[in-house]
Amino acid sequence: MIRAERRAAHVYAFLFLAPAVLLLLTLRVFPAVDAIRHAFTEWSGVGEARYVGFANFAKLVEDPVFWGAVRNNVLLVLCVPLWLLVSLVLALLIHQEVPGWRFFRATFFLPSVLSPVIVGTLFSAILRRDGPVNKGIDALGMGALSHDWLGEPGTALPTLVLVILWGIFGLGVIVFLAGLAAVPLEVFEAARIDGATGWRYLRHIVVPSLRHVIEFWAVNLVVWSFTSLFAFIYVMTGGGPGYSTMLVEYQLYLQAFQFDNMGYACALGSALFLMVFGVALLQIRLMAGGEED
Amino acid sequence: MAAPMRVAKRLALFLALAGVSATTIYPLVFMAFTALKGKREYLINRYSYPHDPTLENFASAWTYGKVGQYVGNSLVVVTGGVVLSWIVCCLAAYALSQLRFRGRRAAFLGIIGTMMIAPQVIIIPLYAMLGRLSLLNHRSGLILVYVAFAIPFGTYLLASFFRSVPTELGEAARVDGASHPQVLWRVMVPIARPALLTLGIFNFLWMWNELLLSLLILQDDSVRTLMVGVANLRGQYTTNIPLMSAGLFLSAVPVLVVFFVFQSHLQKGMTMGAVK
Amino acid sequence: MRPKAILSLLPVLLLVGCSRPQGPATPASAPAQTATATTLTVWDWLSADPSQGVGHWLTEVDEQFGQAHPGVNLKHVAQSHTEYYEILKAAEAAAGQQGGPDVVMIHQGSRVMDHRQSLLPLDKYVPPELKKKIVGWELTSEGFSAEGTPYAVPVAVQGLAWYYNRQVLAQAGLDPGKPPSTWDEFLSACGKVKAAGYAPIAAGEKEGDWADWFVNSAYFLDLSDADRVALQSGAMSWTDPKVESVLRRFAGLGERGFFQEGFMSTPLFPDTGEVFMRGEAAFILGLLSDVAHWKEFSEILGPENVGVMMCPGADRLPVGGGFAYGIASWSPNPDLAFEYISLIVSDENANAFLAQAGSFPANQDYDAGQIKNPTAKQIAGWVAEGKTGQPLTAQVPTEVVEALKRECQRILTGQTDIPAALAAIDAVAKAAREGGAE
Repeated sequence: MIRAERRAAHVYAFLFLAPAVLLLLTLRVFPAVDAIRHAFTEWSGVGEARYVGFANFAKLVEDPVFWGAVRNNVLLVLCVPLWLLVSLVLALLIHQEVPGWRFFRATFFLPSVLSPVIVGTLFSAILRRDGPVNKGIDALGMGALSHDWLGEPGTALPTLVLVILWGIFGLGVIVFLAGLAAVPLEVFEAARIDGATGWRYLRHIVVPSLRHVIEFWAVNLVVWSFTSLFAFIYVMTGGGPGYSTMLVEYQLYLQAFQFDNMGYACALGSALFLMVFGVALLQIRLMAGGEED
Repeated sequence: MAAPMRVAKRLALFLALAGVSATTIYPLVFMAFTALKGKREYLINRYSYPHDPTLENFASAWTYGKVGQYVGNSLVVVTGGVVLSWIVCCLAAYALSQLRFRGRRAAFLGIIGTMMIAPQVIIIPLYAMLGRLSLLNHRSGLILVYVAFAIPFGTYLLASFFRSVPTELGEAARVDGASHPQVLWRVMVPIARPALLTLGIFNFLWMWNELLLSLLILQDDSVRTLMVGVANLRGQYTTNIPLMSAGLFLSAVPVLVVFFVFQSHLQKGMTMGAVK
Repeated sequence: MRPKAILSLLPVLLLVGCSRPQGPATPASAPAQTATATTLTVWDWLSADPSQGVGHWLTEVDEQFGQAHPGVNLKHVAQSHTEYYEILKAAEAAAGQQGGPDVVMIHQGSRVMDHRQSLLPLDKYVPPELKKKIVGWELTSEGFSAEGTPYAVPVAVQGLAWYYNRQVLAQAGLDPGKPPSTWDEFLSACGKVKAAGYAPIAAGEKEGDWADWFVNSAYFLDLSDADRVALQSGAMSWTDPKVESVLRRFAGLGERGFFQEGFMSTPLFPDTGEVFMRGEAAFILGLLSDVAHWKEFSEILGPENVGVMMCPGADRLPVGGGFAYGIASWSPNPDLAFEYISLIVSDENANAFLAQAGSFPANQDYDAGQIKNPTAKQIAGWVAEGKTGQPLTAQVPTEVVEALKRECQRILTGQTDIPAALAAIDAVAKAAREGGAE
């Protein structure tokens, strides 16, 4: 009995994983291996690749732009809890069917409909020195607070964080709503009867029930912050002013496609991969807390 | 809690939520206003509502952005990508969460791990690979690439959901003689419907808005997608912002439609009747 | 709507979509890719842009080509400008498999050199008369010399010039007919403009390109041509006092607040031009062709209000970096490809280029009588008289230019000082030289 069960499990595991694994190997892993191979070469992306051993990595270690970018990436990771919390709280409120919840759910999702290019372009216009945001601030009499938000090194990165929050919080709300939908209603009922409210409600009822979903979304956000912010940076700041919003992903793009240093770009890509993998692994370990497999 | 306090609290919450909504709506309104302005008006009146609205930008976007022609291609590519992703991710997620086999942990980490490969690095080798497989300039080629990019996220999402489903459900079905595919299709999928819908919407979204891979892989005008057409509205130096806004607006419509149609189903989950 | 119903439709759509042939849909629209039909694929980033005459002009050229070569299937692929070089790189990596381009548009300057492994050397194709007619060969030929092997044919002449708004100058109490001719006069004029309540200079430093433009137009005041070559080859360091002098002029403008408010996040296109066109600024560093140039400004401000000058104190205009056309090294039809290019740079099409796009063609045999605009006449005169020089950064590797741009941004925001900035740029230049030795 058990034997057959185990065999069935192995057979079906193989069959069910085959399509995914096949696609991933062909279209992501093999190209990635190719890229890693090129990290040890001097290559413009076309033609001959000259083997240079660890030279690119040595250059990386001494590259001030790279370390500045790493610093910015780390700062972004520290903002992930903010992105997560906003989505979670808003999802809870909608789940509780606050008046107008249908409308809110729809409008919260709107920013996510737009491609990052659109989001970046819109906010670049809105956040201009003479734009509506600053005009609004002036109108409220807080003129001293108006800034060239994306043009000043001190405000550029925080502004970016907030714009990205705007762009993605809706997605998080949807994810958490789906998660909440899967939680048996009795859990919430019991909590209400017990009088649990506010913060305690969050910590002791919601978080445990949503634990897998929260972990999923948190890891996803962290990975995403390392690998998918390109469009935002490209449209809003180009990594500037100076290097104040430079991220490793963006530096990779510049080296690969603007400077023709494909070999170095691959080295950056390898470093990026290691960073992300390490951080994500750490995160999963922390959140799983040594729980089941 | 005293009644007036509760009302005040709910009111405050409502206002906060309304405030958030205002910030999400305003930029879209701004985009709509901009799309309705002629080039001259945009020059002098940049931020307030259009005094002299015109539909010429939408017409130009339709023609120059070849919207009519490209929409069909986008629909094919995105629909294909979404459906294929569902299938591939469901299968993989089931295996990773419900089946016990050696190497499960490794497989899980491996699949998630691919998510961490930055697209910029693999673009060139990927293009060469597709050339070798004769998939360039074919919509099916782009579909497969999209699915490959969707797998880690989708599998992770679905596996997380499947994992929070009590194992008794699946076990009961197995005891009743159901094969694994049957368990997947009859038991897991219905429960994970909100997750599947969420995933579908996600994938539809990013695949619809995706630009670089589409630009790279589909060169032929007959198979190009919508975002490419809209991107071409950006000139080398000048971006005719009203024209661009009109194009972007048109490209956002299908996704909005998809969302509004399906959103109400996201929340209604299964009740616990199934568990007890 | 019932989601289940829709969901069941999707597989149908998928099957229908994927089963349709992926190539041309109808036999009438284009011949199938058989061995007998010839296809010529042309890539550029300008033909899909509806806001410029260039797109229209290219369509006409295509028609002419079609008439002259009825058996050829001309596939004109309009690429997006921003992603152009990524796509070109990918095509190079696939080296011509499956419908790669035959003719490619490319920027004159270091871009041509960067991609020359994928471009066909044109020495056998370019006839001497053509060589003489066209300007710009130094930026598309081996060794950056007009005598070297050409890899691309220059089509357009692009460059930088300072434009000024006569009305604003008058408002500031300056003589609208006599713009500043030395650097000090310029600074004093800007001071007066600022006092009159206008922005002296319309600039956009969001992408950092303005600094590059400024350096290219102002370096004539401090560096000779020999100096330029020395800097490019590495014989002169970026920390040299002459280079420092150029950057001091740049920083000085910022320190005195001569730019419009919010310029650090103003994009160069189109916003900077718009500031000028709204009459809010006295001076703007603009282009010679396509946009942010005499035609555009004159249309909005009126030709009598727009004046043009070289950088105050300089005796030359920086000219270079317009677009050119090259032939892919893997093209099976190089002769046909060159015929297409010849058509583009022919005399009639050069005239049409000027008339429709307001851009200066590289082919100098265009009808100069066509030019009615006084500002354009002045520019054309300068080009004809040879009062032009290469931009300082035309031959500098992109990586170094990028470092220059970012360091200049940091100078303007006070994050660094000039010596440190120059040291950083020099470090990048050194590394680029060591790494890129081919």
